[in-house]
Formats: sequence, C-alpha cells, structure tokens
Amino acid sequence: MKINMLQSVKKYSFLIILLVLAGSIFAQKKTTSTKKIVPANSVYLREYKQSSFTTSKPDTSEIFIERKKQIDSILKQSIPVKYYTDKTDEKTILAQQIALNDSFFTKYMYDLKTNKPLWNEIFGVYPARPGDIRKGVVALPGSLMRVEMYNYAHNLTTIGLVNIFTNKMISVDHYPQTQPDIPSRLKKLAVSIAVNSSEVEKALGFKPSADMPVMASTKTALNRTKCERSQHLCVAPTFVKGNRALWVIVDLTDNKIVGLRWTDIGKDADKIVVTERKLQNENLADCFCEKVNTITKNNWKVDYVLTASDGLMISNVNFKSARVINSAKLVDWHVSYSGTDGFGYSDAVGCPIFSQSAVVATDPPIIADIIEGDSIVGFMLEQRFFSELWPVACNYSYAQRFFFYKNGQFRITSGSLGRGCGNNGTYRPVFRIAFAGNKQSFYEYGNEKWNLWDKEKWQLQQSATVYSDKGYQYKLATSAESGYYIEPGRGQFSDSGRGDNAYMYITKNHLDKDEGEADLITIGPCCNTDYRQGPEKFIEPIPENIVNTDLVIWYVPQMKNDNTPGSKYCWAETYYENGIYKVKTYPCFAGPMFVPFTK
Amino acid sequence: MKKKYFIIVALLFLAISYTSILAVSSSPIDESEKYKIVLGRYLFYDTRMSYNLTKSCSSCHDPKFAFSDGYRQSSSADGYSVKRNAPSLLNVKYKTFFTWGDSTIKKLSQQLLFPMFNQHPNELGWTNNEAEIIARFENLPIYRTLFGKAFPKDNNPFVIKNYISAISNFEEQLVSFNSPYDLYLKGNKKTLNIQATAGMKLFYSAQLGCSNCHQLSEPVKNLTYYNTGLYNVETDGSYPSKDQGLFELTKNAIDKGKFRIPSLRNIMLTAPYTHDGSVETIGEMISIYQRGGRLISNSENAGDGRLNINKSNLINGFTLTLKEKENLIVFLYSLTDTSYLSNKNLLNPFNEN
Repeated sequence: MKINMLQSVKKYSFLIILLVLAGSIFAQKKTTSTKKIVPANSVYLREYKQSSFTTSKPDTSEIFIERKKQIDSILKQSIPVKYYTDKTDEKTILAQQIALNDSFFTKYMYDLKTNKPLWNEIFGVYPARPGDIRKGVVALPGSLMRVEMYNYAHNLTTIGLVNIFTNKMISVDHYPQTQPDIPSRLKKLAVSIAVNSSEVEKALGFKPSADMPVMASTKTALNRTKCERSQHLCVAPTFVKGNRALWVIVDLTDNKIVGLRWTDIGKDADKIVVTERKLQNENLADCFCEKVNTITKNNWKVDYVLTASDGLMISNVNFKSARVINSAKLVDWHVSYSGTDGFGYSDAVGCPIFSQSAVVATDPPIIADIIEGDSIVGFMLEQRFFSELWPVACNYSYAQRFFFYKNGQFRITSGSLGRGCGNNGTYRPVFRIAFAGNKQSFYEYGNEKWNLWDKEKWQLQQSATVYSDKGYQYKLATSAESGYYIEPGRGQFSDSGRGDNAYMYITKNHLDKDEGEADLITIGPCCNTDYRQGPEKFIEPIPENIVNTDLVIWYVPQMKNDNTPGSKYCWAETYYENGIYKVKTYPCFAGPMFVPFTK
Repeated sequence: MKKKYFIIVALLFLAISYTSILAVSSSPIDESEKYKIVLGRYLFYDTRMSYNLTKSCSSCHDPKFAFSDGYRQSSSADGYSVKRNAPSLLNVKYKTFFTWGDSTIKKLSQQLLFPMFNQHPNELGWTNNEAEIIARFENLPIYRTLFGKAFPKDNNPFVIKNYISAISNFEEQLVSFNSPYDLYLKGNKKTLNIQATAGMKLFYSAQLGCSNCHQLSEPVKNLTYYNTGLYNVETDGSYPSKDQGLFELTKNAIDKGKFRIPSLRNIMLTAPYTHDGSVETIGEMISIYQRGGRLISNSENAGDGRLNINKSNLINGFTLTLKEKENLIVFLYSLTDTSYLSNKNLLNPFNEN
C-alpha cells in the first residue's frame, strides 16, 4: 500500500506541483489585493494641522464672535483694512489715509486672481526715524511717518513712508513672510483668548487673570500647527507658575489657541528684584532715537542712533578719515526653546517709544575705554536693553557692544544677560553689517589658502571648521590692496563668550531695493534650528554673483543657555545679600573681530 | 480505479490545504507586522501620546537630530527636565542595553515603559491617565483602522501592550549604516579625505584607544557600562547625587558613575554629550579624554574626574596636537549618515500634506 501510494504520488506529482503553484499564486494575489499599507488619512492630517485643540464645533466665545464680526464688516468695505486705532491724533490718521490712497501700498489687499478682499490691518504708525529715511530723501522735520500694515492672507508686511505735509507717499516696501510689531489691541486679544481658555485653566489649575501673562506681544511659532515657521501671526502669552512657564500659543490669524507647552525656568524664577534702573523714555527718545549722535575718538568717527526695532545702529564709520562701514545693526534676537517643537520668541530690541519692541533701551548708550594691561587700546560703545521685570523669569535683557581699537581693528558683538523663559534656550542674534565700497570680494579659509566665494551663500562655523594660523575664518577684501580678516568667537575674547557657532551669510547689496537697510521688522521665525534665520531670503532661490561688488554680511551666532551650577551661561539669577535681593548674570556675548590688512 | 481517484482527491485536498495554510500563515501576519510599523510611526510622532497633548516620542527623538533632541536633558510634558540626555534611536535594534544606567533593560518594549509611565517628572504622563489617553485614539478613524489591522486577532486592540509593540516595531526600522565611513569600508575610498583618514588612524590607534569602547564597524552589540571620569564629587568615585548611574541599580560602590557607552554614529548631530548632556561640544569631549577625566572647579560638582577611583582603566589620557584633534573631529564627521531623512516612512506622517 505504501509503495502504491508513493507510485501514485510520483505519477501525479506534476499535477500536484501545478496545484500548489496555482494555490500559491492565488494566496499571493489575495494578499496583495488587500494590501494597502498607507491609509487614507488626508482628513485626519488636516485635523491635526489645525492642532489638537481644534474642535469640530464652531467657536462661540464672545471674543471670537466679536473679532469675526469685525473682520466680516471690514471685508465688505471698499478698502478691506482695519485702521490703527491705538493712537487717534491727526497725524496718525492722515498718514494712514495717504498710504491707503497709494496703489502700490494697497497692491495685495485683494487676491490678485479672484479679486476677493483679503484681511489687512495697520499695526502701527510711527514718526519716521533716521534709519527709515533713504539717501536722497529730503523732508521737513516731523513730516515723515512710517505706516506698517499686515496682510493676514499672504503673511505679508507692507511698510510705507509718507510725507504728511505734502500728502505724498515717499516709499513702499512689501516683505513676504514677515510680521510687524503687533499693536496693543492684538496683545489684549491674545491675552483674552489665553485667559478665557479652559485648556489653560486646566493646565494651570486655576483661572488666570489678564495681568498675569508676560511676553504676550512677542511673536512665536509652533511646529505642526499653522504657527510653524511663523506662517500665521502667532504670539505666546506666557504664565509663570513656580519654576515653570506655560506657553499659550495663540494664532492671531485664526484667533485661537493652537497649543500649550511647558518650560523649566530654573530655581528662584519668581523673585522680584527692585533694580535702580529707571525708565528714561523721553530723554532717550529725544537724545538717541530721533537724533544721530557721533563719537570721534582714537582716529575713529562713528555715527550711532537707536532704531525702533534693530537695536543700536552704527553708521558712516570712518577710521583715519577712510570710510569702513556704511551701517551695522542688530536686526532680531531669535530665542528658541525647543528644537523639536519649534517654539520661542522673535525679540526685537529698540527705542522705547517708537515701537512695540518687547525689549527696550532704558538708559542711554555708554562709551568707555578699552584697557589692556596698563594701556588704553580703544573704546567701546554699549547699549543695553531690558524687559520691564528682568531678571524675573520670562523677561529678557540684551546688550550690544561695539569695540573700536586704535590699530584699526573693530568688533561687533551682542549678548544676552540671561534669564528668559526656559533653561533649554538657544539665542540667535541676527547682525547685519554693510561695509563701505562697491569693490568687495569675500573669501573663506580652507586647504591652507583663501578661497573666493563667487555666489551669495551661507556657511556655519562648527567643530571641524578650519582657521588660519591667526584664527581667521573669512576675509573680506574691500579693494585690491586691503580689507579685513574676520575672526569669529571661539571663546578667545575674554568676554565670557564660549564660541559663536555662527552662520555667516554674504548677500549682494542692492541700491534699487531694500534688503534690510531700512529698519527691519522681524526678519525670520524665532525657532528654526538651521540656516533659515532670515537672511537666506536674500540669497534664495538664485544666488547672485558677489565678486568685486557691494556686499552685506549677515552674522548669526548661536548660544545655548545653561543653568547648570558651574557652567551657567546666558543666565541670570537673584541672590540674597545684606537683606536685599541682588542680580548675578552669566552673559553670553558673541560676535566677530575684524582685523585690517593691506598687501 | 476507486483507489486511484481516492489518491487524487487526497492529493488535491493536501495541496489545497497547503496553499490555504500558506495564505493564512504568510498574508495576515506579514500584513499586521507592516501595519504595526505604520501605526508605530503615527504614534511616535503624535502628541496625543502625552497626557496634556504637549509631547510625543519625537519631542525627545527628532529625526533632524538623529532621533535625539539637542538638549542637555529633555523636557517632560510638564516642562521639567528629565534625568538624562536623550540618546539617538538610530540602530537601536542592535543595542544590548537600552538605558544609560540600567543594565537589566534589554528590550525596547521594556524601555518604552519609562517614558510612558515615569513620574517625578512625568515624561509622557501615562500613569493614572491611561484611560483618557487611550480613548483619544479609539475615537479617531485612522487609529481604529491602524490598530485593527495591526492587531487583527484582538477584540480590543487599544491596550497598552499594543501601543508599545507598535512603537517598538517602528523604532526597529531606524537603521543607519550609510555614512561616508560605511561607504569607505565598503570600498569607496574617496569618501574619506586625507584629514578624515588621518583621524581614523588616530581613532583606532593604541595611543588614543577610542575604539576600545566605541565600536563602529558592525552593528554594535556589546557596549557596556563604564565610569569615564566625568565627576569626582566626594573623592570616593561618586558622581553628583542626582545620578550615580549603574550604582542606583546595583548599590555596589564600584558601579558609581558607570554609564552605558554611547554609539558614536551620527555623533555630530547628537550634541550635547554624556548621560547628563554636560559636555557641549565634541572638542570639549575630546579634551576631557585627553586629560584622562574632567576637572570641575568652583561648583557644587567640583572635583577631579581623573582621580575618580571607579574610572575605567581604559581612560588614561593622551597627547594630541591641535592638528590631530582637528583630524579626529573630521573623522567623527564622517560617521554622519542622514540618508534616513530621505526615507519618508521614518518621518513625521503629520507633515506630509
């Protein structure tokens, strides 16, 4: 029987193989027919983008309804714009009217294809500062006003300079993907949305009051929401609770909360220190915001003025009567508290009365000698900026220092004096430095020689960066015979800096369009961890030739704060002494040294 | 004749049974495994995984930092700093030990319990919030589909072990062996320049002895726990009291300051370094080894790590010129592999459209 069976198997083996094969194919086909690994998830993803806080129910809060009514009403008007109403004086109203009568200023108010009205709002009207006025513009004192408008649909800022004596528009610039300082009414709206949120109440464990949040007017971002990379206008009213801060990310384009985040702000975060600092707004404004001052010292001649939101700007800098720098300023501070979640602040620093800058100058600039050993080797120009309650947590203090040496060297730096809103922060000041002359070329050191950059580009200083024997990373030739070596910070300047870790961008300066020469609103989002800090906008998508031309240097150092005992950095704390609390700071300064050379 | 037909029928039956078994045993199991990976990917990037909707696994293990996060210590859902530095998850499937200081955790599924259920501080905050968190997923169509297909035999697939299983399955896909150094080993000698080659020689030299602890050539399996002389706070081998490493598990004094030796793959993307993230740059890290231990003065953690009595006898210090140090760093750069960033199946699904 067994043999018979085997013989039969052998006889019909071909048939069996065929059957097995057919069965396998059938089985395989069955498998693949049900195989759809990637689920249909588009609806879900859209929901997610709207954030976890979004509900399918319409928002019925009073704030939202009122805001929506206002928007609906304005969209029905012939010019779909909300006027600036924080100030109602004649000049402010007239400046807006002049701007809104200009077709280039209003170019993007309607969708260019469908002609549908878009939601626009004038965020600010300010007297023009010296930095706003381009070369060749002549006007009577007090005649020029600056009008800042935001287009929510395009995430676009339009800045117009108007002459209210002649009723004429002087200049208009459109800045895509940028946002102006927000007016106080929007700050109030953000606070109102935050304090009336049940999520915020649940997170804090109590219903907060409107006077509790800080930083409500400072722009922020949050990954995986519409606030990511500041695509919407978003701010973060922040509540300090014990040693933590609750960030309420409010989307002011959609008028809702898109997320909450906690940060650790370290010990003693809520100790209030009464400082001797005095706000001297009027004095400051009169002497340093509206008026250009000049220092003449050690063969240097330097003009300086406090800008609205670009810090202390130096200009027309001469050494031994030769022009060195056209202008240098601090465009932004990007302060990121999460490389992964992408939230933080874009801080502007500037004059106390001309803008909504959260961190303002409270005292005049300081000029001091630089002493090495027993000798005076040059002088320093310093300007400090403070949030009102610094060094209480979630308040900031910054300083700009310009060093001018007798031998022609100079250094441009800025630093954080610490605290802020978390112990995992990275500070990125954005410097703009425009050298004089239009025969400039830029080089980078590598392979034991200087290598020319022929196109606009950026480069990061990092661990493997190679320097010349004297520690120079770059060289800017300002003519065939002379120029400056550029020495980035590597912890060698004895100012507590631990290294710049800086992005360097070189862009071509254009006389026919503004790429940052005028007072810049926030240039980039707060929290990108890569080269996208703002200046890349002037490089991409097609880098221009930069050999033997007029260049602009953008320098963005990166400093990580640290509250670890023994290695505190970009940090500040209070301590008790003789019955009072005092402040101890661990500043982090960064910025390059420029060393002249001649062939 | 009857017998003949009987045999044919029997063979037909066998053949059909066999193919049916094939269909059952290969198709649904393979499919469910694939769905576990897809599900794991969604969960890994979803802030619904934290009790207060603020954190996901990717908050501390972000692809752009080679699945670490760039912090000294990661921030928990409540904002408090967690105890240790978040390690890279790349090649995690090849690891023998899964935490900085606990040699008993030898499976990803064990390790995942820590971020989910740790308290003091809460990391994701699952403890006492399990039902609320799970309910969030049960109510979403996408997760109903994915859980159903990933765990087809479960009447209720929304159980904790399935969350862990799916995320583990996804994390095992995070493999990276495509760095310039790997390509060099595979025969493309041009991927390392002169500096990197010089650095590689230093790395493998007896003088430096880096490779005694940091193995690179194959998936690393046998990394162990060493005290590297980062601290010496009590002159008895102690590290700062908040984290004594393996000692906290064994209570054996010789284990004070012993931590798992990390992989150096993608090291340039995973700063800051060491278990507490207290070393900011790779240059600083090399200097510590060059000295044979870290010297800390003027701080509550003051002490000379070089004199730590528990320090591994492999850490003896060495001399290195500035140029050699540069070369070594250039070689460490060559361990960077970002090719995984072009595999969208490993990246955030919520950023896709």
